[in-house]
Parts: sequence; structure tokens; C-alpha cells
Amino acid sequence: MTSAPASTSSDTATTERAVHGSRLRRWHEKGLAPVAVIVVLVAVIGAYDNSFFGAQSIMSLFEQTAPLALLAIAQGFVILTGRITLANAALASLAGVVLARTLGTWGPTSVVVVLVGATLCGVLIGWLHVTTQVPSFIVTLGFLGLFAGISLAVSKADSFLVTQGYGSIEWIFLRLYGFPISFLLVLLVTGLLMVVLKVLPWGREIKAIGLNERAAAFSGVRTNRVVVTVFALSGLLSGLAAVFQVSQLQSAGATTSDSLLLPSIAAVIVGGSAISGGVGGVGRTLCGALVIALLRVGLDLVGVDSAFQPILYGVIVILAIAATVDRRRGATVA
Amino acid sequence: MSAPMLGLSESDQVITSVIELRKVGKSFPGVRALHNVSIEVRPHEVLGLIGENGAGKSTLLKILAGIQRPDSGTFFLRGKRAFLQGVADANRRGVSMVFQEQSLLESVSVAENVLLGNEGPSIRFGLYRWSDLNRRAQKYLDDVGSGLKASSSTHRLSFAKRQMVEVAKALASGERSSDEPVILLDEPTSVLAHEEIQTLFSIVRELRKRASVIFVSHRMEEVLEICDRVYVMRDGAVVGECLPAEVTLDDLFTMMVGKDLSAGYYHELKQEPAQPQSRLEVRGLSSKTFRDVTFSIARGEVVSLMGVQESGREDLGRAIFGALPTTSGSILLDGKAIAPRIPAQAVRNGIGYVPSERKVDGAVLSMSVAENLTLAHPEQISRGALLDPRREKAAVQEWIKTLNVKTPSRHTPMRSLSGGNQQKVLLAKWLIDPDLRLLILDTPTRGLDVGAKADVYALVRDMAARGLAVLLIADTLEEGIAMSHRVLTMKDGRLTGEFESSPGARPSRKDVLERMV
Repeated sequence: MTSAPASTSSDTATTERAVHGSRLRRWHEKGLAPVAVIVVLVAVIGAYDNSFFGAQSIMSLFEQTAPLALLAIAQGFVILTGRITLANAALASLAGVVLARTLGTWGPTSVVVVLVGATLCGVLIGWLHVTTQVPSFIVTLGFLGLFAGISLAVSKADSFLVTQGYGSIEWIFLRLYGFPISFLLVLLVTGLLMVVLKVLPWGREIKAIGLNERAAAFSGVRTNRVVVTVFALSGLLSGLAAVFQVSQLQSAGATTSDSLLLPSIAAVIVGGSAISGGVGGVGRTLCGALVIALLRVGLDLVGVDSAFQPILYGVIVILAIAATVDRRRGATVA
Repeated sequence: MSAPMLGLSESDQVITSVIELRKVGKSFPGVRALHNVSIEVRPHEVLGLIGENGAGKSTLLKILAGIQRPDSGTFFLRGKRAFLQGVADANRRGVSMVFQEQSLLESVSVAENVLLGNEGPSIRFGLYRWSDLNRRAQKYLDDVGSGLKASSSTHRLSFAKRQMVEVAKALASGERSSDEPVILLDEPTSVLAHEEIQTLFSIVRELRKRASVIFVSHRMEEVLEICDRVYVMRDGAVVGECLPAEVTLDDLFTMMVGKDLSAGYYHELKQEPAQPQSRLEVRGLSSKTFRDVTFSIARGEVVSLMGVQESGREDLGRAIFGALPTTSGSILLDGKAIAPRIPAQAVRNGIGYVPSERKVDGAVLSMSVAENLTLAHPEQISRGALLDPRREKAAVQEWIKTLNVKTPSRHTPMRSLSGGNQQKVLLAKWLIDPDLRLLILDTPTRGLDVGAKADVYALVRDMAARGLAVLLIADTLEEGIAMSHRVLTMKDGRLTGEFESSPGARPSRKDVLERMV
């Protein structure tokens, strides 16, 4: 058998990356860069507005970060396998609408229904992706449209105020001794998933798939099954983000979470995960989400209209990838 | 050469060598790449240059090709002291090199590639005279027996055909000078299949009639087959000069590696007879690329599967591992029918597979030695469903020690290891499973140093002695014959022959080859 060019593997590229990689890139890959960015951002915002260092504004920052952090972690797992999902934010919007409409009649049960439903949506996406071999980018783009359409139909294009049954989710956005419960839950989820990645073979299998899917398959890793479970987890976390958001806003509309798509991808990249897969983690994605949330606070302080903020997220995603990607490799796979 | 010299030289010094290096040295920061190297290249000979990676072959070749200049020593070209000023200068003086990495332009015709930079009269007023260009290029293509048309386009050619174009190109630029050229071939066989290598060899024999050829390789069998004379290099010095007819593989190995190999290169003394119980039975197995294949492997038996590139032998190996769909037939392991649809099912049945593309299909290069070693069998380092760091540490360290893997630590990324050590980790990945029953090895020694090859051979012998069944898709004919208890040959997707093989009673290369082609 003649040898295929070694560059077909995403992993052989890493060989050179390690040897010649810039210090910035190595920092980035260790997940240290976002921590430094957080420090700088906090200092800059604090200098601009001293009241930012007050407990109130820090706590409110954590509170604002929670739904974004969950969606970013959902995205981070998918990116870790070398794939991407565009459907998570739309799925969260749909889950929010369903939750808002059913809370009144089913109460807490509807939270369970929404979480299970979102997980199943993830399973469906993953299963379609691995069986049809259609790139994740395309499959999830399709589901983005699908979820958005269903959301509109279910909500009748109207924002839905939750009155009855709100009590069963209201507690999420209360505070415990002044600390937001929502962010405590995010920390809990982050910690749990960090442990899971570390102690289950599944965690290594995800990374192996992201780095070299063929080698993983030839080692007996059930690659398709692992990818489906990752999409399932991603769906579950999106559903959870929806629950948080309905709790926070006490209402849901067909497009409530849609605006979090770009920030959630930006959070993963800023957090130091490789867009090509295999390198990344849950903790660093949480840091990335904090960076994005800080930026948002900073922009608000300076007086940038929130409608213009996506411009910055777009720029961040491109710059962060451009600064860290290995350009000796051909095209980046998504 | 027997032909008498026609022109009498004026001095009494008769020129016998085309190139002569005397006490040449070359250092790079921190490394002494060559020291005191003296060699000569005679007219119309194929000169072999062999050594392990890092022995100094490449540096020597670069000096010969004019890419690098020696720090010390003298360079004689056709009897005169020469200072080559780069590749172009070397070409003008009739020395040209075929590089390991191919350098052809994709989008132009073969003729343009052959005469690139050497168009001469084929360009007039800045325009190609196509008929002239094609005619001249065709001559060189015919000279090397390529069977290629000068006007065909380059990008459709196979790797082997491209190499022929490279050789024709080297000949063309070498013949710009009035003297007979010297052609340097840098590891030309490393990515060729067996039958392509034979084609290359016939080209080299053709070249010898009108040029001197320097053939660099780390495959001992090839050097013995094609060369008239061989220099062996080790640690930047020439440690031996020999005639292929007078040395054996083991002699050459000892010179290259610098230590005596009492057990022999293939560790033949370690071969123990196969056990009576059958381990693998393949009955009437068919797929797109092979048909109706039936054979068996006993416990402790190494079976070599020999065949040319399209014979289907790699696919057969993959099909048994569940990495390729089959259309009919059955696979029995220890009498129990298995039908793996994905590798994971084969792995669970105690089958291991080492793919030929080590860096693409075998190793996850960015992951650590430990992670690669445990990827296939996490249950061996787990307690319940959870990974147990202590069990992992113990198991990984044990295997690193058992197989003598040279790595700074178990956390070192795979990419930092040499090819041989990577391959040991990939073998340990399967050996870590105490229930391993069958190991399929697809060219496990390809691209390895001879020392590393000998290590892999010893390991295969040990595994077989412990009752493992091994299906070996061998890299070379010699390896397949020497390593096995039985040799199976395949041709066009069918089994064509079976030879018993034991120390002292090996089938001949000719017999095996006859069934392959």
C-alpha cells in the first residue's frame, strides 16, 4: 500500500505545532490565556468604573454568565470531538418556549420533560450526523432552521410570560447568602464534567476522536457512539440553559437564546480550545464564558448599544482562531 | 570496467574514480555530522550508501550534490579538485540528485518537468518549441524505460511514475555536461510497493550503462540486491566497505548497528513450533477486493501474507479486524463465529491490529505514551467503570520496561518518540490485554531503523511463543519468509499458495514470488 500523505491526519499537524509553536499558542493551549485576559479585563473595567469591584456587580456578572456558560460548555464538548454545532442556541430557545408554555399545567414535571426532550434532540442530531456522514456544520445548520421554525410555531411569534408554576424554577435565580444559585449550579456542572472527563475512558475517547478519529477507531473506540453521546450531552446542557434563562427572565420568546450562539462559540475559542478538536476542557470554557460576559459588561459601561455587540463577538472569534491556528495545515475542518 | 581506455592520459595518473572524497568533515551546531569520510565513486557502478537514521547518509549526499559544502577535506570530481557552488553548479558538472520529497510541478506536462531549467534549444524567443521539447524529453523517458509519454500531464501520475520522471529529469540535467553523469538517489524506495521497487531497480540497471549511480537506503535487502559496492555508515563515519556478494544480512546489520547480533537479525532461534489448536479460521471470506479466502492460524503460529500491492492482502487483514465490510464467508476465533462490523467488536473478541500507516492510523501523536498505550483496553486500568491512575501507572510502566520503550516519561507525547519506540507502544496497546488472541500486523517494520526492526522481530517471536496467533502482512519478501511458520501468497484477491516455513527449511524467494505475480 502506498503511503498516504501524512498530513491527512489532523494530528500530525500538531507535531510541528509543538515544536515551532509560538509562546502565545502554547499559553493558549494550556488554557492560561483566558485567565490572564480575565485579570486584564477586570482591571480595565475597574479602573473605568470603581463601583465594579463591589460585590453586587461581581455577583450580577456571575448571574449573567450562567446561561452563556452552559451553552458554551455544550459547544465545547462538540468542538472537542472536532465538530461544531450551530443548533444549540436555537434548541435552547425552543426548550424555553416549551417550558414557559407547559410550566403552568405540569409544574416541575415540565422541567424534566424539557431536559429529556433536549437530550433526545441532541441524540437525533448526533445520530443523523454519524449515519449519514453529513458534516456536523451542515446537520446542525439544518436543525438551527428546524428548531427556529418550531419555536415560532409553538410561541405563535409572541413572547410568553410565565405566571403559573414559576415557583418551581424561580429559585434558580435567587441568591444563597448573596451568592447566585445559578452560578453555583454552573460551577457544580463544570466540576462534575471535569471529573467525568478525567475518570471515565469516555473523556479520553472524545479527545482521541478529536485528534485522530481513524486511530481511535482502529483502537476499538466506538467512535460513532461516543459522538452521539457528546451531542446528547450538548442537547441536555442546552435544555438546562433554557431552564436558567426562563427562570431569569420569567418569560420566553421564539428567539430568546438565539443571540447566544456566537458568544458561546467565542467563549469556547477564547477559553483555549482548539477549533480543530482534541484540545480543550470544561474549566477553560467557563473562563472563556466569563471573558465574554466581562466584555459585555465593559461594552455596556462604555455605552455600546447591545445591538452592536455581536460585531465584537464575530471579530473575537476570527482573531482568536487566527492567532492560534496552525497555518501550515491546509483548511481548518469544522 | 573491462572496456579499455581509449584516450591515453598525459600524466601517468589514470582516472579511476568519478568522484573521490578525502577525509571530509562537516559539523552543525552541536553535532558532528561527518568526520574523516573518504569514499570514491567509480564509473558505471551502483554504489550503495547504507546506515541508520542519523548515521550521516543525508549529509554526505548533500555534499555530493553541492547543497552543502564540507568544513574540511577535499572533493575530487573526475580527478580535479572541485568546489561545488550549489545544485545548479553540480548539475552543470554532471552531478544530479533525485530528492526524497518529490519536486515535480503538478500542472504542467511530463516533458516540461523533465527539462525544467534545462530547456536549452527547446525555447526560442521565450516560447516553447513543443515538438522539440517533447522529442528531447521522450528520449530521456525512454532511456530510463519509463514507458511514459512526454506530452502527458503530471498530476495524474502515480507516485511511482513520478519517481521515474524524477530520474529522467536527473539524467537530463546530468547530461548537460559532456561527461558521464552521476545520479544520486536519496531513499528512492521508501514509499514504493514491492513491484514498483523492481521497476525502479531495472531503471537503475539501465542507468548504470551510462552513468554512475549512488543509491541511499536503510533497507539492507535492497542494497544487497542492486548495488555493486556498499559503504556502511555509522555515527558520521564510514565503518565499512563491502561487496554484496561477500556479505550476509547479519554482517551488514552488525556493521550498521555496531553491536553483534548473536540471535541473528530475524531472531530465528526463537521460533518455536506452532501449537496444535487452531485459533483463527477464515472460511470463504469475500469482499470487494478479495474472494473466497480460506485459511487458518494455530496458536503460537505466525502466518505471513504475501502479495503485491493490489493483491488484497491489506484488505483481508482489515476485514478480519472489522474495519472493512465483507460480503460473504465466516470468521471463527477459537471455534466461535465472529462477524465484526466495526473494529470495536473485534477488539472485544481479543483481536489486535497494527496498521501500516503508523502516524496516521496508529498513533494519536498529541496524546501521551500512557494514553496511547491504554486507548484500546481502558478496562485494564480501571476499577469498575472508572479509570484508576495507580493501575494505569503500574501497567504502563511495566510495558515500557518490558518492551524497553525509550521515552523520557509515560506522559511524553507520542510524537516525541522515534518510529521504533512508537511502534513498541502501539504493540503494547494490544499486549496489555491478557485475553489477546490474534494480532494482525500490517507492515509493522515499515520505515523503522534496522535496530528497531530487529526489536519488533524479537517481540513477534516472543508473542507467538506465548500462544498468540499472528497474521503478518510483511514489508519485504525476506521478512515474510524469515518470520513465519507458514507463508500464504495472494494474487488478485485470491489465495494462490501456501508454504511451510521453519528455521533451516524456508521456502525460496523465487517460489514465493512466482505465486505472487
